[in-house]
Amino acid sequence: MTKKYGMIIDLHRCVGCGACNLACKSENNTPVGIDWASHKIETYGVFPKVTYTHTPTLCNHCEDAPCVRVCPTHAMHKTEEGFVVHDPSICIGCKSCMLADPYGVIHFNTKDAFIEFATDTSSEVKDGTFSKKELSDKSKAPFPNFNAERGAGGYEAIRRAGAVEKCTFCNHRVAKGLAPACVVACPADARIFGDMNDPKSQITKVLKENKPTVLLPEKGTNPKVFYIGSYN
Amino acid sequence: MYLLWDIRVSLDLFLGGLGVGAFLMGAVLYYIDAKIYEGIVKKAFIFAPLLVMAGLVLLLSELGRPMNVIKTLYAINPTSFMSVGIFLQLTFVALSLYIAFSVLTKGTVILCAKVVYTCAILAGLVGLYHGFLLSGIAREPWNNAMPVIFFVSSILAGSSLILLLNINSAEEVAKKFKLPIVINMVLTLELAAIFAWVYNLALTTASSKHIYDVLMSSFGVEFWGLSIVVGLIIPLTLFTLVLLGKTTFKSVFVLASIAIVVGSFFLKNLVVYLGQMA
Repeated sequence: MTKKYGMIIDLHRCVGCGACNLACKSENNTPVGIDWASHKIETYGVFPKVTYTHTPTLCNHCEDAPCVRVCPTHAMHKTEEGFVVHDPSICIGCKSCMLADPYGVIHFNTKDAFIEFATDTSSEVKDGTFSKKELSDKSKAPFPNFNAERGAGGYEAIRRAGAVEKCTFCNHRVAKGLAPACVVACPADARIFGDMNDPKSQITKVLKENKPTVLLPEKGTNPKVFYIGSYN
Repeated sequence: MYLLWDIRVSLDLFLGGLGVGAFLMGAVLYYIDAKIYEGIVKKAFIFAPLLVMAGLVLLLSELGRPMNVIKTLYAINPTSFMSVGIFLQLTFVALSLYIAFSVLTKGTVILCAKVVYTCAILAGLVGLYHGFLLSGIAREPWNNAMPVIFFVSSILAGSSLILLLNINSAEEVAKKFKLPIVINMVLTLELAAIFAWVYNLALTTASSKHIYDVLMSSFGVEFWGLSIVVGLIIPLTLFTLVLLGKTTFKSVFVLASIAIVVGSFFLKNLVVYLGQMA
């Protein structure tokens, strides 16, 4: 049976520390302003009885993904394992996927990511601190925290201007038998990732034991990121 | 507000619509009598591909990676209206350029009727595609009324532009084909389609109701003033006065035609903008 990967986020365990976001940025070389793993905060109630929820968000890798449906070149496509991934080499940058995506998790590169590490020679303290270009040169990488592994399988390790990008469920890590970076980094073990077609997997068991919810169920996209528990 | 699709997309849909409408007007007159209406048909067939191409150039300039457009020719996604539309527009531009070249060099009589017929079908499909492009993305303001609204608006604006380009013969055409009645019927159809669109927004989901409120509260001038009153009500009133014998076609058609063209742009621009607010 083919694999069908999904993720559970336990909102009761999540402490909202943002480690998932940081791990994602390090793993996937995303620049400032582009967060494949993010969160939304909603406030409820009337003062003094107010409360809020913190919900981590990422691409839902939907079964019926609207972004895949509207992409004119199949740049946004589904893999056999159910990952919704993007091929920047054939993306025309029309942004249709962003408009069709109801979750707001697809991002557009208006400029080459980390380009300042190739061009910015200014330093905070002259002859005292490194410029961004010097940091890049010294570390022999496009930018100091560059993860070359992200370029596995021909994917642009750092995305150039004019194309979109989004969470891939760390498919380059999953191919090596590893869990996505956000799952590994979570200090509260709030994220469970695995094959939903495997009856023995933890994700299948937890999904059976709980009543999971998904974001925007009314959109009918059949997301594969599930939420259990409650933030409060 | 950061717009994913800026005014260049609206202009592409507007100019493309003008081209499609112009070609269809030219095709109708070509089939009625290519000799008598040679001047109008010529201008319609020459302007049509130029307008569509001008829109496509603007669209290309809006794309993040315009050079990759060539890849749409082999990386086809049949579920994407844009993917299908690229083929429709390319075929229409190629065929209409051939027709324009033939008309310029040999006149209208030599044209192959089957080629004009094929190109007219393509023009119709491109006109519908403009609306399907939006409705296929399935955002609340871009509902299923889009293809009708865009297509009818394109026919109105394109044929008005051709009348404006043929001021001297416009009255004769108007008399022969009772244009005030025909245009008023199409204007009424457009009003009905817009009413269906807005009614649908106001009644369906919470987010569509929110968009309806935004449309009425923040875009009143663009919607009621420029799109409805200027683009539809003023021409409808002027042509009604012509039908009632209160004025002549000659004295109102320039103003009415300009109003229709201007209204078409503002309506399309508003729809493109509103969809991105949902």
